[in-house]
Amino acid sequence: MALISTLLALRRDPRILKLPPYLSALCILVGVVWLLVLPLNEYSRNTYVSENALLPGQVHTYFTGSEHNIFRAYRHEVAALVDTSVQERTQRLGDIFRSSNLKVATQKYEYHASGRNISNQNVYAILHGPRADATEAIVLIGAWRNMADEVNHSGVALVLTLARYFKRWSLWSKDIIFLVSGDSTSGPQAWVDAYHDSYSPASIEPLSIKSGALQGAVAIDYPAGPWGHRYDKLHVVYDGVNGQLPNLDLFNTAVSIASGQMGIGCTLQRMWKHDDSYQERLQTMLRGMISQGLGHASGPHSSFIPYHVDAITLQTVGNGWHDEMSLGRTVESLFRSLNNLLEHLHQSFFFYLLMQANRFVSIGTYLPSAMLIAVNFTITSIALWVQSGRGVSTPNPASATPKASPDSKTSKPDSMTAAEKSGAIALIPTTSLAITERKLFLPLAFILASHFLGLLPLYIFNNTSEPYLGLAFNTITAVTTSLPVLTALLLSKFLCPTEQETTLIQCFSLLLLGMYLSALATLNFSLSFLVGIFASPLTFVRSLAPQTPPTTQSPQIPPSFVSKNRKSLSATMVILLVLLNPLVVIRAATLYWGATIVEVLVQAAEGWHVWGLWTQVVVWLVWWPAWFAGSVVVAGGLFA
Amino acid sequence: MMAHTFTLLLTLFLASCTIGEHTSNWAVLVSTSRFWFNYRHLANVLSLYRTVKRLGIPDSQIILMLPDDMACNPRNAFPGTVYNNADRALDLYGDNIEVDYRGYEVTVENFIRLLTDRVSEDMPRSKRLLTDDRSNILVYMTGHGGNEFLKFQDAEEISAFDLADAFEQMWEKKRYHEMLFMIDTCQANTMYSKFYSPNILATGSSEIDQSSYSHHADNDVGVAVIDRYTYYNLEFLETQVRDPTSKLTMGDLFDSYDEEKIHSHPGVRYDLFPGGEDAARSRLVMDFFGNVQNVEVEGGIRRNETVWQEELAAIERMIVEAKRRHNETVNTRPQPQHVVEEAEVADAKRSLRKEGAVRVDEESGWTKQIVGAAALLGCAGVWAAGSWFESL
Amino acid sequence: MAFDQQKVLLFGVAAAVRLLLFTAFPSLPNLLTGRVEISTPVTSFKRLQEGVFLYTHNVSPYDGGVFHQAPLLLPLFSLLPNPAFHPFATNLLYTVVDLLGANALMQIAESWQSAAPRLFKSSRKDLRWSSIAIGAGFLFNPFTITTCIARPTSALTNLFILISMAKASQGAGATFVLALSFASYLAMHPILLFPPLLLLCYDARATKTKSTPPLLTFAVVHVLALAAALGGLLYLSALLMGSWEFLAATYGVRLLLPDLTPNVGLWWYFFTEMFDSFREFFLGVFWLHVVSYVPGLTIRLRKQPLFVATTLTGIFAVFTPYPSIADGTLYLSLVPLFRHLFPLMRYTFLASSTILYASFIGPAFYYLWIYAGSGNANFFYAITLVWSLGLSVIVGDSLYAALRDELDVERPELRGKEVKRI
Repeated sequence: MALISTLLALRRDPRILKLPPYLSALCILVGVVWLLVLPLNEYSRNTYVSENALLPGQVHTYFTGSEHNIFRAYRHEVAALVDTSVQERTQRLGDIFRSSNLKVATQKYEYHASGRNISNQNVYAILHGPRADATEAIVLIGAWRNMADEVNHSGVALVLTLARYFKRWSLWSKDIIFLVSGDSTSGPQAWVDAYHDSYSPASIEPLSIKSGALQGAVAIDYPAGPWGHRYDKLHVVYDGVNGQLPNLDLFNTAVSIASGQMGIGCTLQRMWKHDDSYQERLQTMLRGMISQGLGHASGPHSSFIPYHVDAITLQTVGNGWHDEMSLGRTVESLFRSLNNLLEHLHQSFFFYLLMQANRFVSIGTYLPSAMLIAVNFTITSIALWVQSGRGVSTPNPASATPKASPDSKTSKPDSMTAAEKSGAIALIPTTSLAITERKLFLPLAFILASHFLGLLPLYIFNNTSEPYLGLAFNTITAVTTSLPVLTALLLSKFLCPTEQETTLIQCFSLLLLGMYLSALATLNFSLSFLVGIFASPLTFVRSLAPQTPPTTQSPQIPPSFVSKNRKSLSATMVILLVLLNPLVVIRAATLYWGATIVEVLVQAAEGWHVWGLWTQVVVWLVWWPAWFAGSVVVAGGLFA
Repeated sequence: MMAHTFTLLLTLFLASCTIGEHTSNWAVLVSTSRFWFNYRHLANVLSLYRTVKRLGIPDSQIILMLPDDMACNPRNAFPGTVYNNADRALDLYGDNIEVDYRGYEVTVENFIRLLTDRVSEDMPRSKRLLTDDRSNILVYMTGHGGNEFLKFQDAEEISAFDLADAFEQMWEKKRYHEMLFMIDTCQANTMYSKFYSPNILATGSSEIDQSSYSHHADNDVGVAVIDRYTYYNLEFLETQVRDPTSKLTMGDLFDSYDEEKIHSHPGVRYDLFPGGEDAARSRLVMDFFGNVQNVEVEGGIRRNETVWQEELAAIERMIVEAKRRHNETVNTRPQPQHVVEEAEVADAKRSLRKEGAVRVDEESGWTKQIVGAAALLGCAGVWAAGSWFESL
Repeated sequence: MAFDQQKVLLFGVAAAVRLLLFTAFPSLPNLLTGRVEISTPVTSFKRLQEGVFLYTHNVSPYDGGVFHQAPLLLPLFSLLPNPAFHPFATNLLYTVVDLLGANALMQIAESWQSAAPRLFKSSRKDLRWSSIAIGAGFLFNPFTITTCIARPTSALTNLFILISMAKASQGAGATFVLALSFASYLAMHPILLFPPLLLLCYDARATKTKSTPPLLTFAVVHVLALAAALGGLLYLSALLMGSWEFLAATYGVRLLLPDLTPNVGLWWYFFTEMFDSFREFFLGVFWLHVVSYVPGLTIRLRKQPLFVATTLTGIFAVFTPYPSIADGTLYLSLVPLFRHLFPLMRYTFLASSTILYASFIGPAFYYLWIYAGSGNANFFYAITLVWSLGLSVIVGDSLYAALRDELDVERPELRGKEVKRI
């Protein structure tokens, strides 16, 4: 009890309000440093296969010799199909599968996004495990065109060859499905949606033949033309839609087979050269985080992961001495390992950051960094709440400090006695209540409205056709940049928000931001971290209204300075925040990576309509409202 | 009861032949793990099964416990076979395998019941360990274990204490003369550390905190095919103990263990054995791995056959009786005959189905709706009445 | 009639929002119906449809152990067109149910029984929100809207609880008893609200008639009336079903918790871990715990019966076997009636942030557990604990405030002083 009283007394100490900004800054700092130390040996771990059943690389592979001739023949067949119609191509591929005595079916799909028409056809074949019970299946994918829109000559030919080759083995405990999808993103999505019966019949056809529950999927991306190409390394792509990842065991098995059994080096996140230094590890990890944060489909495998089907893409890169047969043997060995599985992959991690093909950190180690960033907002919002309650220096009546004169910061015992002896009970409460009540309506309405406002760009970007997207982006950038200043102007003209109300607007906005980000951190760590970092200045900006009492100003700036340069400081902060406008950040990012903004928006719209991508929702309903509220609060200082 | 009589008779009969030595040899060979990637554990047991059979223990005196069927696993590249060597010279599954406990029958409870013979009366003889105080028993176990426990089938485990108590019970019930306990698992030596019953010689593959390793993998089967400790035991038994007349001793076997090759420290426990280490080491390998040669058990077997036939006849009578009773209760019509015939059974079922049939389709009329609406209107009416009453 | 215009506007907007959500997102109702946070085994709309299907196909709806709701709901919903093809009638019904609930809530607010009941005048009784604001707080509470869209039968239970409170605070004995019997018939636990509401009704009647009839006679009459009403409803159900087996399938399930589908309450996780031999014992203890609040609070806060009833709904939202956010929303809608206690409450920010956090992280963790397969039941249970913590902080804090308020009236010289436990 005594402890609680002490704490309660401490609560009223004005000094305690100075603490939160430092605490928030500390949280951000620790959060970032935490992430930076992860690549060190002390904090990351070597990967290991934890599922006993996988037994990676324990089998001899026999995909050699005569199969090579068949592969070359198929590669020419595939090359001959490049310029033919979709219908004819599917027909011919189906015939090849059929000649290997497999059941074949096709699936048409047609999506509309950004005014474009994405239509193509999937063809797939099912190999029933001769002694299996047809309750489980694994998928081998060769997309007709890869992510770079090149024809996947050798990849498709390899799928055809492997289909013919696998058919001859009798040891499959699961069915194997060979899928040649029309493209690398929408095609697999259409197929896997239809496989799990969650699709709109308007855009995709149902599958006429199916097998059991999917246990894993491997995609081959090998765009070497009809005369082949020897590659140097395998690039293992593992990001799924919305930043979900496959079980780490699948990745580890692929790496251990490719590098251990076949002697093919593995690389990830486009780090073609990796000398395992700290910088390279960090770079790999950050690239992985950005890819995860964007949540886009990074290959044919991505669509499978939301259905809890672990999947990866094996992509050939560089010039080296490995040929198609070694890739075929890698896939063969990988499928033998997957064939050994007794149940769904579950032993290893689903949340991890990779910093090299065989080094990772797991969620327990890295999650605190995003959580700290999210917590920083919560701390500030709590501080702002407390501050809003004593804006004019009146304590909360429940804390039962004597109701003293409004200007005194410390309690005066004599004023208390006066109140006691006066006996004028009815008078005191009314005054005290009138002072300490927080006016919640305007802040709550404002926050609600700003979230609804976020729906507008979300709708516009997802439903504008391609030619107008650039214009839409520029317009919305301009509008959103000027909107906070305008809103602040209008607010101060018509509603005259009190200092308490502006404080509460910021408080609620940060509270929601902290909440969204901490929930998001458990689903998509990277997105939460990135949004958190870009939004972190919102913690430190304040409305510099004239009546700001000396206790509440930003800790960096001495009071006299603030009172003198209120307007210019506010303007500086507004400009800083304009630079952190989500749209400006997106523009800067596209400039940095050399992408065009329209391309990004088209991808995002396709993601929204086809893949079920949620990143835009986070940008427009989490990040943007928080930024908007913060900017309006700061811009209020210009007009106060 | 019959079994006890038989055991008693057999004991008397055998005891008259040779005194002071064991008169029969039994083997309990247990693999405790299932799943394809544990192929080697089943191969271990099957290898040992083959060896003791070669050295003369008949199938009727071997209890073989196999929790999984590797030969018929769809992942097996060589269907119908189990090999313990990558050269695949010898198919362990080839011919004449009698698996007594298979699949999910391999549980801790069944294992302890087997040892202590606390089984129900209708337990078939092939699943019982019909030993007496003149029987030597070889208990071989393999699987995944840890400090003082051995996992059974991924679901349960047996502890060293359970095992020690079971052996003590066996001793108290005079169910063995001498016993060789052999175990190949991680931290195997902890499993026999709790034994306290006499006449047990125990050996294991590895010390506490030590793993037990597989010997090699067959890259076509795709899994490890045998464990190291078992492999070198077998090597000794197959190359040195060539026929049942072999005079090699247990000491020779234990001396053949090479820690370099086994990659772990095999242990032997002598202290429970009367005469200690010397006596134990001087026991012949054949005392445990082979059958005694100088005993005729024909009389016993014949008696066994008649008993078995009598039991069979009794079961048949029980089945007929049960069928008759079943018919009487099921059939609504009086049924004069006792003999069950297919047509009549079908008939009885049909009449049964007629009684319980329920038509499941939507009601065509509106009666249900009207009744329901009336009920709701009634409630509303009561409400209205209540309001009216209040407004008075 | 500016006041009525406001009310019409409020109801119109609330109805429009609901019907718009129903029509603009046709898949939303089915999505929400499947959420464990909203639909429990004893209130789920999906199960109700199953029951109606069996009922219209002449099979006992209680066969198969899926349907656990009151029998009289079946004729009601079988009269409506099949919601799978013509959802409008059902949507309209649930919208109307919400509007009636808001209406009842506004009647409670107008009766002013919250701040100034017969025996007690709060010193801050002038501090209150208008009934329109309170109605709006109910109608535009996102939890209420989600509940309405998901269409669990707890919406009906909430309606009848609100009506019974409204009638009790107006001193209308007959309809109060009827409404409470409907609520208890649908969900069983509302019967525990009878003691405080009876006192409320008695106080309201006494204020209205300016006389104090003997409390005992009043109580006996109303208890008998309640028994008669409940008996009538149960008998009607038995007639409709043709047997009494519905008792075990409805109230039996609510009492004995055979269905351990996760929900936002505290029971399910505890009972999945329970050894069977202790099950009965702990069922008894858990129920005793819930029930024990009723006499305690009713006696201690005899002067503020509406506050007791409100607090009890909060306790039900945490400690009953199958709570959902519908129960939480009922409590959170009633709390604004006690606007005069807000200045005395100390943890409003903490509690509301906790509830806010829980309602966002809860679905995320449920997703991790059920869909992504990367979390487990403990994640979700931890969040239901946080949700319950948030609610119980409000319950405890408002109780403190109510007691403090009484103290301020009894001992004015202590106002503003720190309370200490002696």
